[in-house]
Amino acid sequence: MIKVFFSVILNDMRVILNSGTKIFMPIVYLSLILIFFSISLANTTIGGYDKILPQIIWLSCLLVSLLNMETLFKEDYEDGTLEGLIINSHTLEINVLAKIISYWLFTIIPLVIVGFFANYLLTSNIGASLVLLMSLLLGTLTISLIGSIAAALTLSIKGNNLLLSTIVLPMDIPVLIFGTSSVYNAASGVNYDSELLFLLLLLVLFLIISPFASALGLRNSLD
Amino acid sequence: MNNNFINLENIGLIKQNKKIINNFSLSVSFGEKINIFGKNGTGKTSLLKLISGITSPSSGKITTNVSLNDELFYIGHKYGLKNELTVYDNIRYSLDFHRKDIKDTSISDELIYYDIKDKFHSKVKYLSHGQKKIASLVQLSLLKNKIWVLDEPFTGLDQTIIGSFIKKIELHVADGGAVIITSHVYRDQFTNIEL
Repeated sequence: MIKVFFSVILNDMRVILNSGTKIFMPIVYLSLILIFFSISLANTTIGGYDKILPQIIWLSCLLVSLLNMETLFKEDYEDGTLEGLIINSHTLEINVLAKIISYWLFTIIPLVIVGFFANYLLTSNIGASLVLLMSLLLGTLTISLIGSIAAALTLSIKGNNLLLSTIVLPMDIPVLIFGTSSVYNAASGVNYDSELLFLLLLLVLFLIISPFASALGLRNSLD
Repeated sequence: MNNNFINLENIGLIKQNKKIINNFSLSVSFGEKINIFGKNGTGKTSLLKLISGITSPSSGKITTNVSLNDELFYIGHKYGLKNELTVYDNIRYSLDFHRKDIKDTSISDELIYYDIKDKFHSKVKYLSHGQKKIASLVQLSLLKNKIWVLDEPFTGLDQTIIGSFIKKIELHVADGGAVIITSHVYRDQFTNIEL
């Protein structure tokens, strides 16, 4: 079972690395958002761009990973590998988890790393940047797990992105709240442990729920 | 009749408020080659999906005494190949996924048998329709799963390939495997059952 789990991750990695755009598009989007934000905020009188930058990065990472979420199972659905996955999996849930993790590892993690460096370069506050990195790592995995439920449910619907975002929105809000406030606390020198712990809690919660819910959704989508 | 590995009893399937399959029964045992035929839109593909366990019937019962996860291989209208990967990577992955340890030489033997050796390291997206189908047939014969469920396996293939493939089917059935297909051609090679 472990072997199959890793072969699913490796195969997805190969697909993602071979397509190229899947890694670079999120990074390009993030850079665009940061550039546009700095241009548009240049003439405002807010206390300083670097104070809100971590929050902007957090929000951008959330939005960009939301945009990409629908591709999680879409390709497998269209080329027929999903049918094979469902028929020949002993435990579909484990293999679905493998797909989510490889999606997170190879499309979201590069984004998070770029976000971390962008924040460090622009604010030169290493402590807050590390907290940003940490909260983004926890938060984006949770967001991927939540998104996979919605992606599985809306798989067979054409133009599913709208519905997907609507389903995901209420569940993503707690992640966003604790993620951004942990970074804010770190930047203003206040304790941020409880926020990170809360993010961890949400992660564990969805780590348990999401594989089952996604597997169920996938089975239904192929009906 | 006790050799049956799958029994479909009075299967009914309703899709979008339409009855597609109505009271259909079928038993398949190892060593059988079955062709399910019927007009377009009578639910042949849906029936194959039911047999494979992708979907479940609205009424009736499907019982099986083998582990379909291990024994069944399904090729539908989509071939289950990743466009971004090479033919070799696709085959390797499906062998890993099915926990089968097969040497590279057997893979190339199989590719030679179906005459697409030169596509060994081509990405699937550069293959033609028929070549994609052949690549999925190569997977099928390498994995040696006992039950083959194939949806229209002969469309898009040329005469020589079909000939080689039918030989493979004969061998597989003689080995104690089972084949369930839907097809409008080469029906005399199979036990035909109307849906």
